[in-house]
Amino acid sequence: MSAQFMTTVPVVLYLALSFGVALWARGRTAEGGSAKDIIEEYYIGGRSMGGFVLAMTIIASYTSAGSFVGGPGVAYRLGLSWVLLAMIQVPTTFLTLGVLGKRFAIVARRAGAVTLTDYLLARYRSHTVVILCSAALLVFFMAAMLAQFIGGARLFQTVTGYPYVVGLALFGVTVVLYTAVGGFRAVVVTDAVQGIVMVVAVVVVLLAVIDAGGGMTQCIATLKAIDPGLITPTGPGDAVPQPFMLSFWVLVGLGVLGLPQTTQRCMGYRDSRAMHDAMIIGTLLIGFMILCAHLAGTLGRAVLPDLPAGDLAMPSLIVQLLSPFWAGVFIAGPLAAIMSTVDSMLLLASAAIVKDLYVRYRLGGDTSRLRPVTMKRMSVASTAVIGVLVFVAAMEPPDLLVWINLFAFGGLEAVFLWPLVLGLYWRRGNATGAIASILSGVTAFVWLTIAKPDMGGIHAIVPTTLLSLVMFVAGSLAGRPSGREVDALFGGERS
Amino acid sequence: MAQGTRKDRRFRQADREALLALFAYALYFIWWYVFAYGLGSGNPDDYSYVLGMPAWFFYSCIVGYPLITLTLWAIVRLFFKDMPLGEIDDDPGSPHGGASPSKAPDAKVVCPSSSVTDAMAASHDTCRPAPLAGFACGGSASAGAGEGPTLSVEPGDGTKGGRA
Repeated sequence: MSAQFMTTVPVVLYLALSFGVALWARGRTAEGGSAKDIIEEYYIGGRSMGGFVLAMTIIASYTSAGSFVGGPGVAYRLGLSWVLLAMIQVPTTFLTLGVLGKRFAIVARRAGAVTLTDYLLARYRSHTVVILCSAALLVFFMAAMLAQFIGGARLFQTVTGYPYVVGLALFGVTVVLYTAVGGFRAVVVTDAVQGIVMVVAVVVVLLAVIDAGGGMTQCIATLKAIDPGLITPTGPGDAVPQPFMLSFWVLVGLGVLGLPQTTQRCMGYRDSRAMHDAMIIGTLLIGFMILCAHLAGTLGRAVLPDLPAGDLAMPSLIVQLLSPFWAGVFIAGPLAAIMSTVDSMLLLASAAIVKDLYVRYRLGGDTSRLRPVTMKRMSVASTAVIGVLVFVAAMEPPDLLVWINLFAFGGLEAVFLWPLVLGLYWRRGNATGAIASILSGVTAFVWLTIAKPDMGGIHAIVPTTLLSLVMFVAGSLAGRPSGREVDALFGGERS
Repeated sequence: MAQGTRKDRRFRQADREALLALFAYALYFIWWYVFAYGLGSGNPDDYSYVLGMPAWFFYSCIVGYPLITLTLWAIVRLFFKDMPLGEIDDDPGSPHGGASPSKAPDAKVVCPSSSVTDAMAASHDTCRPAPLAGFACGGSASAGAGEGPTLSVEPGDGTKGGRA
């Protein structure tokens, strides 16, 4: 049997497993109910996630192709400094769950919010906010999903040697199918499986790398001989200056509170115990995964010192160090990371269209005008259509979307961070502030990313976040207070 | 009735927990920063090593992350409280949604049937004082019920209970 075939076996098995799990999850779906129940079930699984699944889905929707290929690739070039940088992501789970916290969970239930947009509408009562957020979400998600698809297919191509389109079709079809058919429940259950696969994958490759490099001490010594900068916190030739490094505490630290695919999870857990458990499990696992993956990339330099590009580091290490079968198991890791990011984005994009735009504006928010079956079909169809669109786009990636992807992560944060967090904790916040914050944030982020003014190594997200904060406060103070109903809904304070 | 002074005590606890999460975040940052730049800023030739890794890296990354996980575990165990997340109402049948604080002996955190719609309280009797966990409160059902009225955008939707 050829090595190529052996590598593909675990991948195909794994894809089949994902699909099987999704079908199983779908079988557990509560049947019947009104169109509104269908929405709750399809888009947020009836708020029934327990601690482990919650932790896994937050990790899985957050970690993407970048965490397995891109990140370790940079770590290959920049050494331990990039591992240090990656470790900034450790608090992701406990920060999102902890800061949005029970207040968010309680308010989301009161308002019947299923998506972030629901929540923002309940808070700001402004159609402008809804439309801005839905548009931003659709555009950035499409671009981000496309990038994920491309990354996954390229990786598959590098490792197995099969054409790009084969890989794309294999996991593209799987992810679109199970997401469309199974909805949120299928997404989070497969996320949990995918999380486990990711953990196994990174351990396998890290151990293989350390072994091939002759042990940890030897690996580090080799790195130091190549370039002493590889083992400093600032990287070779000070490539990672401190201001740049600290910016990431905003971009992948606090800013994660603004990523809809992650924060939406915070309104879907079953009870407070699930949240407590998830904070701990999530932190433990995400730290482990990130540390192993990036350290493998860094130490890989000691094993294969002369690769032309960092992005080749992970695929090359896998192909050279692991037997074909284990290489396939590892490939399943990044594919899992990709699929688990794409599935949640797919579902939220679908929710944005069906729930946030169609139901609200065509039906005036009245779901009872739709038969439950129609509602269900529409949700499934819109998920499938978006997925197919992205899939087709990934065959011949349009430059525009690839370009937009540069702004996706920071752009989403610029849009959602302050309206979400301050909406929760600051009573005076209102629609004027939210709109000002969204518009100024996106504009600033895009402009700073393109124009690249000299900011002493600080990442564009830092001034963006500050500006959108100032605009939120200024706009809120200038505008009218939100009124009693909002206070009542978000209440808990004295009036 | 003195609705102006009503306070959902779950929120006070939730706010405390959010602050604790931020506190843990700050702790992690300090640990990460102090060890990385404190031990790592010198000349690589002078580095000391632990288990083959430079000491700065070992402490800030390899030790830092299990440590914050443990700290977090302690914080959650000691300071985080279980609470129901759905609506609590000691008289679910009442269309006025019993505004007095719940006297349920089991409910660790008392919350008055708050300001969500009367319609909701009337149409859903799933909201009982929950024994600690929120699941009994019928999260999805009660949440769904509020959707129509509470998400409407008209400013003067006077049917809302609460402070009206």
